[in-house]
Amino acid sequence: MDPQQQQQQTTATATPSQKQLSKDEVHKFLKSAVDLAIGSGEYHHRAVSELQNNITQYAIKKLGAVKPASTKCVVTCTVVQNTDAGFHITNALHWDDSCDTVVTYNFQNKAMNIVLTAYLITT
Amino acid sequence: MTAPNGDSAAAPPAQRQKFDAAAARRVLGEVLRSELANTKYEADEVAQLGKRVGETINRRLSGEMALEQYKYVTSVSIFQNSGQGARMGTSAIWDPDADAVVQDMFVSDSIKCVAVVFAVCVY
Repeated sequence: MDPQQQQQQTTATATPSQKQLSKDEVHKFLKSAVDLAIGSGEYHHRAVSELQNNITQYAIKKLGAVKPASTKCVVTCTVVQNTDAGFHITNALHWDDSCDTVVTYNFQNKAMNIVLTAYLITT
Repeated sequence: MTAPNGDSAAAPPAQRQKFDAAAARRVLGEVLRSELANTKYEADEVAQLGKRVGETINRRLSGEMALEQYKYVTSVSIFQNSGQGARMGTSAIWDPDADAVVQDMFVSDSIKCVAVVFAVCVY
């Protein structure tokens, strides 16, 4: 039996930041941004701007660190006081479905609704 | 950043091809006023309404601006106008010279609508 010659193959291995992010990963990051920032989870008009800012910053910093260099990232956070009033947020996307993604994380408690959306656009 | 023969396919858009934020804002305002005047907040129709507004905005932007290099992400948020508090913010990692965000708001007795367009350049 001839000994198998080991073929030395050089493959271009992608570093973690070159890999396309999966929707599940992005969803996890968005959820952790809300968990980190939420604090007591109460809606106070004077504190909501800081809450929204913190969530957005946590999310964009995390995504910015792990996304591929050729991807642009936009994060939108909406915090709405939880009353009987209704609201709805829609996305209309004029882009390339094969390489661009949108991921949304919804959070709701007695006091508020938080809708956190990340758009990842490949250039 | 142009190749020796002057072809700039891989470069950000030249000055005259950049996204015109002021013109886009006018388009946004027109679409909001024409689609939302005299509408009431109806929970089972609001999703369709938001989708229609977003898609109309995208269609007009891609048609009138005629910028091949741009992708458009339009977020339309429709709130029942009943005095609840809300806060919305965004953050982006992109090319500030080429990319832009444009927003406009429509308020009536029944609804408050915020439309935000992210114009993202691809190279």
